[in-house]
Amino acid sequence: VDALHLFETVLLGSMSTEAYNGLWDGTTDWGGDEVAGAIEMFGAVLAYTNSDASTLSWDQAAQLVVDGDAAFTIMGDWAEGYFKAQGLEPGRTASAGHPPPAPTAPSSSCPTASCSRRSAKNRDGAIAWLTVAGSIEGQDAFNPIKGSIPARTDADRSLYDAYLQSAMDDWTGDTVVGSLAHGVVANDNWRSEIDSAVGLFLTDGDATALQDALVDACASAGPCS
Amino acid sequence: VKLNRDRLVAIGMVAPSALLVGVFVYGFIGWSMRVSVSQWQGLIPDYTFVGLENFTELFSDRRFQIDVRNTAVFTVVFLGGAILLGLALAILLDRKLPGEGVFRSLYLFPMAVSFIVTGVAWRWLMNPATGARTSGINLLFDYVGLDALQSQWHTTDPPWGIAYVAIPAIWQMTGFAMALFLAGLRSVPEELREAARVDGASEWQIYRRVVLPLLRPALLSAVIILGHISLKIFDLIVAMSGKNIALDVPAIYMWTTTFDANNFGRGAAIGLLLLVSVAVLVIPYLVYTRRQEAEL
Repeated sequence: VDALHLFETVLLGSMSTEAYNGLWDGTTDWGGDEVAGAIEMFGAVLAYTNSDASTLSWDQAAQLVVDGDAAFTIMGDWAEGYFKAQGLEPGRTASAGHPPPAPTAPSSSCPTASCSRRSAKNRDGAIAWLTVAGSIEGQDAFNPIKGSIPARTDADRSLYDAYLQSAMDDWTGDTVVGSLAHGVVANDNWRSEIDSAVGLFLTDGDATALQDALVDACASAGPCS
Repeated sequence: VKLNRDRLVAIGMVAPSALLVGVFVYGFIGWSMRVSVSQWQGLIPDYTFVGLENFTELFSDRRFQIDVRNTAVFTVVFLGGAILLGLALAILLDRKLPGEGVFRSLYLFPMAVSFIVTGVAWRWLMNPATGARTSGINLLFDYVGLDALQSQWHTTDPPWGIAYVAIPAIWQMTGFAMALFLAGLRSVPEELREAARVDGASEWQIYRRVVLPLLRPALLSAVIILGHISLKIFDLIVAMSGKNIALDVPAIYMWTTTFDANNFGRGAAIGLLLLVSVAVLVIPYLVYTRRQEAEL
């Protein structure tokens, strides 16, 4: 999944937002030059990854950035909460957020939702909790510490640090695209085919085979048939 | 009347487990067969018949080819290592050295640990990081000045990365092979050794010509039991490196295809190929032991 996340980030970073979105509805050609260029860049980026990547959990990987052993890691905005818990300040000791090749908006949204069952035992308590969680006070108490942006646009910006403020601006100002690794843009079968193809590329580095497999995957499990 | 009641009680005793095995083993094998020739993809069952398409696709699938190669390498290294080390330990313990019971338990204990725990512990031990982040066995090599032995371990380029995953498996199952061989050695009558000595055989010749041939049943049991573990290996590899394709095996592919990709047709096909590969190993053994029991 980590390699898949890196691949999708490079895909998004190396082509326009429209072209990236087109990959998922069949209007951008998986066999075309844009994807070939992305694969080439992906191969180059892989040369800068750590050899023990497959043995680390996300927080261990983020720790490498904290310790100065790694220059980038791709993670959700909760990594910002992790960095802050380590005593780092955004924009100074570590730069949270975009990996170098991705100039566009955060690549995905993973909203955290909670639901209440109609027959819940403690209905009043559940409603009270949801009311707090959805209120400005609740949002502003939780998000700055967790490292995420509020679900409301009327939250108090001053409570959020520089990175989260920039993420709030990106969220409202930029085009938001869906993430492959998080199951937003492709169905599970298609995502898994791409995951296999990227995994095979990690073992043999065969760019032509990867692109062929991506074309096949779109035809067999995506909209290209 | 009494005989009939006995029979009824006997049938009544066996029926629950026979029913459960019938449903949950043979019934589900049958269901998997049906699913493997269907085009079921996604969460809604779709039993449209597609013949052997799921199987033919697998045979041309590069990932499945890696799986087969990885299983072959893993099985050869794991069985070879566990059986040779187990035999060596059994021969040493058979010398009736003091504290034999302690050593026997010591070597057997790793078997009580789950493969997940073994995998996590060995993931730390076989950490491939270099430079200042060197840790685990590589760090130990560094301390004692054997830097040349530092290894990329299971992140070594294919096809040998998977061979390093066999090391924890050997560590875990050698004690079991040792117990099998020790029982076999103890069943070799002392008279046979005596007779060979009288005939002027050296100790090496006694092992080579008398003891080892008599260990063949123990060897066969070890190959069957370790072999089917090897073919079905899943938890150890997932604990060591997640779902990294370089170390992919059929059981992991079956899992991701079925439960991550919701491609139930192909997942069932992989499961059946796995079943056939284990059956090829186990069924001749069952036939053989049945025949031997009949002879007794």
